[in-house]
Amino acid sequence: MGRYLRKRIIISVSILFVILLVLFLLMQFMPGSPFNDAKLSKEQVAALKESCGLDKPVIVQFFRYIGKMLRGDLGVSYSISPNTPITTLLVNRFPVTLRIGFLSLVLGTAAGLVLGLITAFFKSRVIKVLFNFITLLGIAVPSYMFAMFFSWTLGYKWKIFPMLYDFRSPTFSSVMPILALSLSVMAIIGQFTKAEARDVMKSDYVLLAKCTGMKSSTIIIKYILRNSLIPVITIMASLLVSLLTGSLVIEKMFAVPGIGGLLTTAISSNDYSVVIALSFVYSALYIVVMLILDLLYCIIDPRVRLGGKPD
Amino acid sequence: MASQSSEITDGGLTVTYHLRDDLKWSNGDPLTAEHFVYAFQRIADPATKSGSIYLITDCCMVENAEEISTGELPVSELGVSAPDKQTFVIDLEQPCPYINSLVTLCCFSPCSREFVNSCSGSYASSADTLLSCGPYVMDRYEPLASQIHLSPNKYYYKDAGITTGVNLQVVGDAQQALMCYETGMLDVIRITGELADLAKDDPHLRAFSTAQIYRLDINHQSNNALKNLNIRKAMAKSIDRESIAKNVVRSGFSALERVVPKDFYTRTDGKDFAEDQKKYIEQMGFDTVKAASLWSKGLKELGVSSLELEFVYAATQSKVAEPIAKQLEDNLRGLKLKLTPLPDKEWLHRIDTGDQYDIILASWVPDYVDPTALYTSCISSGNNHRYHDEQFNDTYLKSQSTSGTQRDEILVQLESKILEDVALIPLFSGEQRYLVADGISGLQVTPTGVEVVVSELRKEKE
Repeated sequence: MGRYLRKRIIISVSILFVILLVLFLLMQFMPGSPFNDAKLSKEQVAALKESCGLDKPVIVQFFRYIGKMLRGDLGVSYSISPNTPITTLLVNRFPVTLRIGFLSLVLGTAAGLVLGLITAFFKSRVIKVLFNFITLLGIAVPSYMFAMFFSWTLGYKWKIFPMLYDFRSPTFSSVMPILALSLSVMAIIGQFTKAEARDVMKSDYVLLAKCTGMKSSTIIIKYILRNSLIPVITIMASLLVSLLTGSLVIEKMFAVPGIGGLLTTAISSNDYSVVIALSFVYSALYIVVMLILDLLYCIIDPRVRLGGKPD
Repeated sequence: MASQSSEITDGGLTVTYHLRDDLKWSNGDPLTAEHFVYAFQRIADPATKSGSIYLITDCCMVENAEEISTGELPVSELGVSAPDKQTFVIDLEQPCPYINSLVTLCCFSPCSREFVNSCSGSYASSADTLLSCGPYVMDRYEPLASQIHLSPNKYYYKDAGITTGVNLQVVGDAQQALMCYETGMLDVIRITGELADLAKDDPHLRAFSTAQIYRLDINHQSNNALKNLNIRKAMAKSIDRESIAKNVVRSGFSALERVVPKDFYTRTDGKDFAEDQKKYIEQMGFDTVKAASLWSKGLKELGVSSLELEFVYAATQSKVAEPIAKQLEDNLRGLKLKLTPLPDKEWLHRIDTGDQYDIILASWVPDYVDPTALYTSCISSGNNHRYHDEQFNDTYLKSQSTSGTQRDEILVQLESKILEDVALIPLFSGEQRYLVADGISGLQVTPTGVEVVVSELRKEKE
């Protein structure tokens, strides 16, 4: 296990290094500079570039950046919020995006698991049609449309929830973004759970459990749910990352001061340092989540042995 | 507001502001002239990396600003001083007739050296690291915030009559903003293009003209054909600005047939500088017959029967650029435009470098209330579209050292020269529309500097 962990960490760091290099080079190849302003003279632009170290060769800039990053310094923003440390920008926004993304995942997963298990367990045609309708809707309709629907009904017509994020009541004002984001999660998890649970229900050990007269609830929790979780957890990792990176439209709509808006503003303003830092954080997040998942497999299913050798 | 009086002496080279003696910061500390000195020094200091440096090196030439910005002289050598707590003096290298307008820009706001130092590098990055001297104080702020909250400043030098705070909300989705306005969640919202039709008959709609202008920049060096005056004139006269503004874009644009828009600059005699909107109709007025005749003449002089030009614009401005291109091609026989829509940053890059375009749809926001803020893009040292005219440069310089009616006449000469030479083709001036709920008064939208001024904003108690 320890050996496996070490190996994974080394691979992860190497991947992050490559990602950082590619990002850095891509940003260099993009046209324009953070100081696109027709009112600044060429000399003034050159002086600004020099003060930010952008006049140095790319390779020097890259390793200087890595050095600072290892000391926890992600640099400062050049243009969108000049001289503000990127860590300050992230510290303000990341918790908001993380909270909304995480709660959407929890809500969507819980609802998806319940829906999937119910549909797998009860063979009623009505339940099956209803399940297919809900999950197809959740998968096919983009979350933006749900956001518009909730805004119109729960916000505009019935005035139940605020239509904009409010720092004075962050939880209450996050209800609609969370609902909008969680529907697709619910649909995907529901489909996976149903398919997996059906397979598990046909297995010999469930049949044996039924024959021994075990209670249905025990069979579901102890055997069906647990054995259906592995593929569900795999998909949860990518869902979590896509919730954190892809909730941009929802953030824009509900004026959520999250990280998605920061990324697009930074890209359109050529704020290299912010773009690279955010992309790096996203990549690191994905890699860490995948690593945690691998370890979780081990706990959920003792048959999975990491590293190829039994403990 | 901070200044009780000001005087310009020494042939326009020394500007003195006498401050009120009851000014205080929002933490109760006294506000003195030294804080204005420090604000100017921060802009000049290369360590600040200020993008506003051109304001004190080019727009108004503060003594030694250029040398300080390149690190040749220390910041203490900047031509600003505070002989006493209530007197702030600016020394200029050449007269700046519009200095009083220029210093109202946010970057020249006073700044407390002690407070900035106490923030150890995080100045102005949160509500705790901000000081105010205006009627409001920010009690909720973070860089690029989507929500900012202002509360009355109890140390403001007079009773501003403010009892409640102001919540500033950034809403990226226009439709969502409108719904919030209709439910009473927001009191004032800005109307953008997509909502223009929905709000056009609303009695609460208020329109404010801004000084932003949209224009076609002609690259005077890229293509031989564009050096021909008749070709440029023909292009200027073949665009029906009125119809594009009214029927195609519908919101945010007004037709502009001169460089300075109306309600921007007031002449010495108290009249609007751009009072006569039709003054340059001969050069810029839409006239397809004259345009065609000038075009044929131009082509004949060039010895060609057709022309192909590259028209560059920001992809986000396609709605404006495409009808312009169509009108140019329809009205000028033999003109073929290669349309190049670009992402904003690439488009800005091309404007900055003056390369890789024949004509480009550009916009210009003046920094201060003076026509030269719009003419500066045509002087040889400051333009990217490579227009060069010695006479224009000399007249521009003259405008910096004159005042009163004499200066107004020089400004007219500058405007006439740009339009007669078709150095650029003015198209539209910007306009901003707001929906203002019942019971809300005092909304101010200024053409330069701080766009929306909330200090006079009041809400009737329900």
